[in-house]
Amino acid sequence: MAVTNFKGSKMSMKTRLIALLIVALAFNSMAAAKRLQVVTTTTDLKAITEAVGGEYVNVTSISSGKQDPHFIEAKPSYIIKLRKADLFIQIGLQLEIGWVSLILKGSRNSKIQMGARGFLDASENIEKLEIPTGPVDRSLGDVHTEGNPHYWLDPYNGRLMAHTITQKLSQLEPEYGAYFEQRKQVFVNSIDVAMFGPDLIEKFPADTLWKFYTQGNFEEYLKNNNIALNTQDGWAAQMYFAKGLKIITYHKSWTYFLKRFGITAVAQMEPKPGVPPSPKHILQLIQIANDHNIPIILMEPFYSDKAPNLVSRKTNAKVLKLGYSVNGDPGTNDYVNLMNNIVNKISAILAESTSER
Amino acid sequence: MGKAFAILLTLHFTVYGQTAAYLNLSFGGLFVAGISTLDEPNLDIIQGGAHDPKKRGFTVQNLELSMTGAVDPWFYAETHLIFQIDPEGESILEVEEAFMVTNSMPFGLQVKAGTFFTEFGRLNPQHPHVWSFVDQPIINNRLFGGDGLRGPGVRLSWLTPLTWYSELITGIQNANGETMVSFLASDEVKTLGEYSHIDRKVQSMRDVLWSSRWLNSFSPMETITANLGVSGLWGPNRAGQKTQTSILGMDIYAKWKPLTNNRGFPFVAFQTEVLSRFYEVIDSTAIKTKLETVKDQGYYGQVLWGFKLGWVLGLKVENVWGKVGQTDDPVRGDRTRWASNLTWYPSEFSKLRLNYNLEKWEDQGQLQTDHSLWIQFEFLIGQHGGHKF
Repeated sequence: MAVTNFKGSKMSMKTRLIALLIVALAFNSMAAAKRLQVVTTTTDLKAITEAVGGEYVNVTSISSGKQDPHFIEAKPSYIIKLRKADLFIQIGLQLEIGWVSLILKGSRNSKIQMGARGFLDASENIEKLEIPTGPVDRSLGDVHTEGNPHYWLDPYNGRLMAHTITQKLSQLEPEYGAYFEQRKQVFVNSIDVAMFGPDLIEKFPADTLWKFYTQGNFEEYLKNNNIALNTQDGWAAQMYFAKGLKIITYHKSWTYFLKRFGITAVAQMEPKPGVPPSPKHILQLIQIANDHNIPIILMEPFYSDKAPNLVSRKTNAKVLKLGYSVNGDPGTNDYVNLMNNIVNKISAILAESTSER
Repeated sequence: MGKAFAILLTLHFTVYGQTAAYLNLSFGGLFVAGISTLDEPNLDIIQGGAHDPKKRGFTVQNLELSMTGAVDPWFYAETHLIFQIDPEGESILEVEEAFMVTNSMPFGLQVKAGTFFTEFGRLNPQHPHVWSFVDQPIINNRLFGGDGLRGPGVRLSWLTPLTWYSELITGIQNANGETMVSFLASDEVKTLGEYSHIDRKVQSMRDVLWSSRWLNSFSPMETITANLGVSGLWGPNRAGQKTQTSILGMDIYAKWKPLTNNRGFPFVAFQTEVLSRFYEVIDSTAIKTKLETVKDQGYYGQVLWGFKLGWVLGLKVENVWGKVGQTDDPVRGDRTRWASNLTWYPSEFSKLRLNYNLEKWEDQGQLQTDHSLWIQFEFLIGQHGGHKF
């Protein structure tokens, strides 16, 4: 079979198929080009943006999830990622302060510079913790003057981040606003179900459950409704026995997570934020760990585990290394799985400690 | 060290409950103390950089006041003022850089205007506190002078649309002054190879410095990044009314760092630059006056190993050589330097460095070997921006 092209020559089937393929690829690339190009600083932001943006976003993260986001190097390859971005999303609160302005300026992309329409600080709607109240200088270590930036580790804040990102996506692509809103509802619901379990979410409005959980009278609320918390009731049930627990963390990365689940970090491995543990401080931590019968020293994989292991050997505390970003640990490929991993590992080590006692 | 530095404090002004950083201020002090088998006149020659250790005992290498900030929605500006105390104890103030940069030009273009370090190679545009050794390489001293190649001018940069980082830079700057030693220089700058200098005025575009650079960066995997650059300079010199200088260079910077690094450690970084200068002179000693080209070449290569949090071991080798001019020229003879150092960074804002230099140099045809041991210390206060990779 052959067709006549506009010059009158014959075109073979093979040529025709190739031409069709080229046209299809061109359309495909045009469709891809229609997607909003989004670059995020962390994989957590990427996961939430993908959850909300679906097929209308193409999201790239600067961090792979394994790095310490405070100390990412402003590599030229990151500048290239930003060059054609329509939207840049950062965690903010000075988490990325050492490198973001370098790659933003380097990109020469006026759409995503700080303050531009394509720039989003995901901390906008977050209730910030640990904002310094007194004078701050560097003798206090790496203090974040705008508050602790590790807010994504509270699942309630995951909902707020989804809301903030949805608003921005809808602002940039208003015709897909309803689509983004619908996907946000699905994402928020997945957090709610993971937090309280499907039964409670079916019986009560999620906002009500979050309200009572935040106020600290969640169990009382359930009791008043003649419901007992059971093991199927999500992270709330898994972390029930952790309430009132005292632990040690390496860095103040877990403040939001611990507050959500009623856990207290009585000390950090770092004597001051960003300062590695000194021998004197390690001795103090051993004392603290013994005094409070600390079960867990919670740390991120990128810190040295020498000092935590030393404290662990002299006390009952177990060192728990946990990635705190999506893809930081195996099986944490989205936001809910990240929180699942954290909750599962903490509750498992608590169950182990309880049975040992 | 080449890593992005965290900025943890900014000069904040509270305006109606909002924070705004209109002017970011920082101040850095860089000092060195040590001993050397070189006596003091020779120490000044061998340590040719203006920020190098200059004498047995203490040297104030660099006191730098930096002011940076957004000018308006279209420009960003930086000013760096240098204070020094010279070996004789006299205080010096220099305007090292003061420039503005566009931030909203289309097509990946960017213009820088003001007075600034020429973007030639890797080390020349860097400020002394970024250097990984206590002194700047001999070849940089020899071709660009003690203060580095800098001057008033304008440069255009284009971030090309290629799939990897590929930046083309071209610029023009005044070719005169003590920071333009290979070009029109100044009356105070020593003549090259004892060839005569003339008083040369700017009469055409051939009488300014033209610079070009092509920088490419590759990240074959997330843990490895390599920058490859080639640079060129073309400008007038003072040997004659039409004599020109060309300088060509090639630089490589490659770094490995694992993903799960702790504040940037561990890492291994390799850096090298090779430079050649072609300086046209008029040889009036020949029977008939003729134009000839004096060549100077050299390289340095260094490896840094950040072996544990805050600790870096460094090793550097340097070699320079050149065709000596009409008379013996002690600043242009063959030289080799081996250097090693151990640096401790208590934080990103301070450092303590022990640096050993082995110098091999020629003095009136005799090969000399000398040793120097330096301790360098640094502080940074205020808002200090991150460094380019």
